[in-house]
Amino acid sequence: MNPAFLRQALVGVDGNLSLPGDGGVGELLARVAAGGGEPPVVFARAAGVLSACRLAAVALEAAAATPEPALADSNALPSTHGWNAPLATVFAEGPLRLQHEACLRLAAIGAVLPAALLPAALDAGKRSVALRDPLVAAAGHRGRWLAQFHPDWDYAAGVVDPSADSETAQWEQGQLAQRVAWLRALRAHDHAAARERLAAQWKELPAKERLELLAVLEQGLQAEDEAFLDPVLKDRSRDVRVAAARLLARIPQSAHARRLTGWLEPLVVLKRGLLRKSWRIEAPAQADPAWTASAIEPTRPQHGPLGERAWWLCELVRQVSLDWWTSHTGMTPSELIAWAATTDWKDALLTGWRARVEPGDRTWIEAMLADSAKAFRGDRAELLAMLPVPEREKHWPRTLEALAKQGELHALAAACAPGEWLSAEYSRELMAGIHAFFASERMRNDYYLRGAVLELACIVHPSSLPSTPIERRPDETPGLGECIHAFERIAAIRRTFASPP
Amino acid sequence: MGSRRGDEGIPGGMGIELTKEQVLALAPDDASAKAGAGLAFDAKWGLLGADDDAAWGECKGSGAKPYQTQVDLAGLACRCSCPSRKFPCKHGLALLLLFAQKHPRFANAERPPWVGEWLASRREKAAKKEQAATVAAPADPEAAAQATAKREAARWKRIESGTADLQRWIADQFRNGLGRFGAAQAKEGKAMAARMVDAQAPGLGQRLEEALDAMGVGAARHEEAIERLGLLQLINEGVSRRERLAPARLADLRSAIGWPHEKETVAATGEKLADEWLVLGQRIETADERLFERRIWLHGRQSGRHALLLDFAFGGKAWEGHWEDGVAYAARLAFYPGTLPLRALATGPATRSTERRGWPSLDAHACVDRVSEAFAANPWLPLAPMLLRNATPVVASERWLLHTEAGAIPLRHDAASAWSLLAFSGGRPLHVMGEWDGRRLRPLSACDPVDEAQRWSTPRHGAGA
Repeated sequence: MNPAFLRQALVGVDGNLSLPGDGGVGELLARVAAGGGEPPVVFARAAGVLSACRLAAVALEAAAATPEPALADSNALPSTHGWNAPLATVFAEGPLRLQHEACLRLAAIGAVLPAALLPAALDAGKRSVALRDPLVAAAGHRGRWLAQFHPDWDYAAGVVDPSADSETAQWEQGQLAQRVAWLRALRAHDHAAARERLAAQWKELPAKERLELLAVLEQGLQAEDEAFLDPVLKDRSRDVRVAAARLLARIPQSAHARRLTGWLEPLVVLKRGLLRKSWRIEAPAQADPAWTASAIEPTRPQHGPLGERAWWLCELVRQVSLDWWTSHTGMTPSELIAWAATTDWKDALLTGWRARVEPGDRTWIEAMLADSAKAFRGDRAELLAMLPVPEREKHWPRTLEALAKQGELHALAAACAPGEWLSAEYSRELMAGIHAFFASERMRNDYYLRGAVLELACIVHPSSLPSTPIERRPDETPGLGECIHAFERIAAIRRTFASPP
Repeated sequence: MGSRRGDEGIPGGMGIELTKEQVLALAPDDASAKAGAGLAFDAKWGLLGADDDAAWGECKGSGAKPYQTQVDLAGLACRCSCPSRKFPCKHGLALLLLFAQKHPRFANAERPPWVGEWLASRREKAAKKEQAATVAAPADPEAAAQATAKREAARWKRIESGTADLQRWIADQFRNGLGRFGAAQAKEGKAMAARMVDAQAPGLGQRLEEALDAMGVGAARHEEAIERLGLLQLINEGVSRRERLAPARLADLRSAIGWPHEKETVAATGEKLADEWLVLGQRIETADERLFERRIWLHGRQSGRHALLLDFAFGGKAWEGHWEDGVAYAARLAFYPGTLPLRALATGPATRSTERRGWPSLDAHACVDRVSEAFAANPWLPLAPMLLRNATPVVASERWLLHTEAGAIPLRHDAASAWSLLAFSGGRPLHVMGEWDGRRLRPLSACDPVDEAQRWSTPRHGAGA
């Protein structure tokens, strides 16, 4: 629009109307002006004429450069494939566990998501960090290409194609998650090479990346790692210092581990009584200035449950390897847990051990899960999650009814990581009672239980899902009706995924 | 599309094989689809039955009396005795879901009287309509013509008093300057838009609302607001000069005002064209969750003509005809009059063609010429179809564009639709069909030039924005 025309419209049209214009449009406007009338009405008419002229001569802006097109995905799921409809509902409505399963199933048949489902799938990955790794793989070239245009989908953009010719491209140009995965793979077959790669870049990495990449060294930790890890105890980031200290404490001959046991040993001593010998424990009487260099925090948090000395003890215990306790005292983990209860420093010991325990410490986990170890009752789901699935299942009742009665159904689901399923045999035992369970009063009345059953539907082995519909009663409550509907939807989708057409 | 009348779609089912997905696509919203699926099980239904024409059932509700639900299978029209205002209601959807599952209880049922009565009344209504369309001969043509003329004169009078007010208001805005346009003026403008509806010129009300929206955004859309007010002024002047306008131009004016010709009149006297009509794309939108507008864009195989099937439905009424994107239907259309006849309605049944047809795209330059010509013929045209060859969607600094050899076409931003189109393209050029509103293009469908069977359609429902 002519600036003079626009200016008049904005400041107001008075008696001195001017309708500037070039060529044919100018002539047309001159005729409008000559038609006469009140100036604002003439101006409005002229605006209409200009508008009609613009509409009749569509002018486009010059085309800018278009971005590089996406590489072709020859393995994109064809639109006729039977999985399209279930995939669409899974990414539109969830649940998260099914989204995870969908990605893994696609990977298993070597396919990637069809283009139509990519926006919904990338949105799902935006909401759940846990879903991202499998999702980025399932998104294919097209999905990773699409992600570069949307700030919320950044996590999937710039991921280097895993099948890229140059293997190191993933390490040099990939996103953090991809770098972690790459380093983990390298660590699995060449411990030293992985450590050297990390050491070479260490100084340029931000704290978050240092923390995540450091965790990779846990796999196949060995004495040679000490030389790299020891300086990390002076890292700028406290989280990184603590993580390095945890690793070093597990290398028995490392200077750090020896310092720790040097501090702890005088506190755990064998006393000879009249009848028998017994172990005694004392908390440190004062903070040692050398602690700080070993990632031990001497200042207790203001509102923590432990007193100052208990805090110091706990800080030592949470670092020292659990193996030290069994070899130093000759007691088993169960005995140690029972013994701790008889000492003055029970809370410090149990809290420290709980913080130290790791998936490899199988006997410790079992001891903490034992009925006698009441202190760990609240941590059952997390402790169970550290056990492999078959070991874990031994701790649960064998029927749905018993699981529900003991309130364990939620813990059972919570212990299963996304993508992890119960064994086929245990699943069958549980699902044998599913019809009766849906008919029970418990399901009618318990909102939380219904939620747990839907989670369960996502984690049992697909072969165990009932093939006959759940029986419906005319007097069912709307809540139960919805739950049955959702259960059957999940079951139907999982059965579809289990049998690729 | 100014008209706010409730219309009937074309009658007759098109021999669609019913699937669960198709049933769920009929749902007015997600909540209804969910509720319907929740009711689609045996125990809820006391009675179930079906024959060639209809399916019916009695669904237990909260009350003592079950709801009587029935579906006319010819047009998938549902009716239910429940008080729900949704259409189809959850009971209707549940019944169709069970029917799509081929539930054994539908077999060999005898039609209850309440189903028979409803079907009979539907058939009767359809027959009457057809008769009206073909015969359209009133008992006393002269008296009827006189009555119509009188009614029309009265409406013109009301409209003219409305446009006089509107002209004064627009002139006031330009006299004071749009720079001083504020909350008080916006409020006055809203009142003026309502006044246009009272003056039986709802199209003007709608156009004024659009101009006010543009003003509300501020400097970025001042030019657009000025243009919209200017086009309104041309309508105002058209109304006062209506007696000197050619019939086609008068028809343009009437549809701009929101006073289109009666369906019966169009069916009887409109330009007829039998052709094989390819469905290019479609869209259903609603501004207020009550009144829904459906636009279906067609392209005639022999004639090369474009046509727009425009329907309106209040929440409680379904679309009768079912037109599928990318499918051609043999049908006879009657066009509404106008300088550039585009809007049409189907007279008689539309027969689905089994043959797949190629995509009738144009190169971008020709396409730009065509829409320019369309708007040159009628500046009040709300939308013109664009059929582009080799167009690449791009998003750059939150602006959506379609790159073509003629330049970049700005897109109407509708997030879900835009992202799915971009995903579909993968950065490669597509054949795209969309609606050009004079400023931006709203893509409705697309296909892959290399493999035309790979198609994209915009999500079916959208807000009116």
